[in-house]
Amino acid sequence: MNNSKVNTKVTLDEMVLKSLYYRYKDFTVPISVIVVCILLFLFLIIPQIQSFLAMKDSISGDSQKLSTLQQNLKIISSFDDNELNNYLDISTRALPAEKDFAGVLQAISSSAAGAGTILGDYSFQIGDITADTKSKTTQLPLQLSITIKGDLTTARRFIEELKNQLPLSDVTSVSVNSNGTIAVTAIFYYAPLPKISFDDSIPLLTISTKEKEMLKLLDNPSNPDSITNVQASTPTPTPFSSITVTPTVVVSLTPTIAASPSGRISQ
Amino acid sequence: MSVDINLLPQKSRSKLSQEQLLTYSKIGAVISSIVTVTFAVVIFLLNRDPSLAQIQAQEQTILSQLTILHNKTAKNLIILDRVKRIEKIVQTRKTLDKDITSIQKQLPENADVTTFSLDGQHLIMTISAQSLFPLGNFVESMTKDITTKTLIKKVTIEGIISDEKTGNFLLSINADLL
Repeated sequence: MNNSKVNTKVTLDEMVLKSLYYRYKDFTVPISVIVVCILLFLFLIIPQIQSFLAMKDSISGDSQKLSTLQQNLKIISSFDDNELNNYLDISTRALPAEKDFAGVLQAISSSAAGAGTILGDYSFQIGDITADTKSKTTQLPLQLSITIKGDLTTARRFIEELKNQLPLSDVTSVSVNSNGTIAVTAIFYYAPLPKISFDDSIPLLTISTKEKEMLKLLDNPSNPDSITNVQASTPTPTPFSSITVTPTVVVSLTPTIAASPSGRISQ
Repeated sequence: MSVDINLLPQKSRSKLSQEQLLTYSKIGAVISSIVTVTFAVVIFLLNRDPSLAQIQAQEQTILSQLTILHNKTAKNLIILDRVKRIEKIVQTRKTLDKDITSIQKQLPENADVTTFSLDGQHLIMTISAQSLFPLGNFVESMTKDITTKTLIKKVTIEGIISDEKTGNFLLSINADLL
C-alpha cells in the first residue's frame, strides 16, 4: 500500500517533458491549427456575423425610412399651394388661433341680417386673460350673450344662420321673451396653433376627401363645391415666420349693427 | 483454461490508437481551417454590401428636398390639427335650431308662444290660446313625443292660467330633453 502511494507522485523534469514532446510531436501542428481556428471563429468570425446581422437590420430600417421619406416627398410635392392656402384659410377662420372679436362680430351681424332681425346688445365674457393660452391644447370657448328682436321663428333662423358662419360657434341657450326680445348665448371657439416638430421619417397624413368636403361646406354652406379665394387683410400669427396664413378678418358691420348695438366687452 | 488472453502486446495497441487520433486531428485541423477561411471570406464579402451607404445617401438627398418643402408640411399639419378640432366641435355642438323646429311642429296653429327658454337640456315655455283645446292638443303631442323618444324625456305642467283680461288660457310647461 505504501509503495503504490509513492508511485503516484509525478515529477516533471526535463527528461519527462522531452519524452512527452517526442511522443506527441506529430499532434502539435493539427491541434494548434484547430485552436487558432476556434479562436478566430470566436473573436473574429462571430463578431463579423453579428455586425453583418446588425447591418442587415440597419438596411431594413433605413429602407423603410427611405420609403417613408419618398412617400412624404411625393405627398408634399403633390400639394397644390393655392389649395393648401385655401384650406388653411378656411380652417383658421373656422377655428382661429386667438380670440377673433372682429370675426365674431361679423358672424353675429351676418346671422342677424340673414334672420331678418335687428341686433340689440351683446356682451363678451372673455375669461382669464392672464391664462397661458399657448400651452393649452384644447379649443377654448369665448362666450357671447346676444339680444335680438323677434319671435321663436326668428330665434331659430338666427341660430341656423349662426351655425353657417365662421368662426365656429355653438348656441348653448335661447330665451324668447313676451316683449319680443330674444336672448341668445353662444360660444365661439378658438384654439392656439399646435407646436409643430418636423420629423420627416413619420408618414405624413393629409386631409381626407371627407374633411375637404367639410371645409368646403364650412366656407360656403350653400355651395360646398366652390372654395372662395379669400383676400387676406391681416395675417394670423403663426409659429412659422415663413408661412403666410391669410385669414379673413374683415370688420365691416352692417348698417343695422353699426347703428343700434351698444356692445360691451366685459371681463 | 482461459480463452480471453490478449496475445498482442499493450504497446502495439496504444500506437495504433495514437495513429488514428493523429489522423482524426489532422482531418479536424483541415476541416476547421476550411470552415474558418470560408466563413471569413463570405462574411468579408457580405459586409462589403454597398446598399447601406447608397440608402443613406438617398435619405440625405430626400431629407434636403423635404427641408425645402417644410413650409408646405407645416401648413398641412396646421390644417390637420384645425380639421380634427373642427370635427370635434361640429359633432358635439347643440342642435337648438332643430329642437325649436321640432317643438314648433307640435304647436297648434291657434296657439302662440308667450315665453320660451331652451338650453339643450331643459325646455321651459308658456303658450297661450283662446280655448283649452289647442293647449290639450299640445300636451297630447308632447306626451306622444315622450313615447316616441324624439326630443322630450319628461314633461311637467307647471300650471294652466286663465287670463280674464285677454280671455286667453296660458299653459306653462317644464320639460327635460333627451
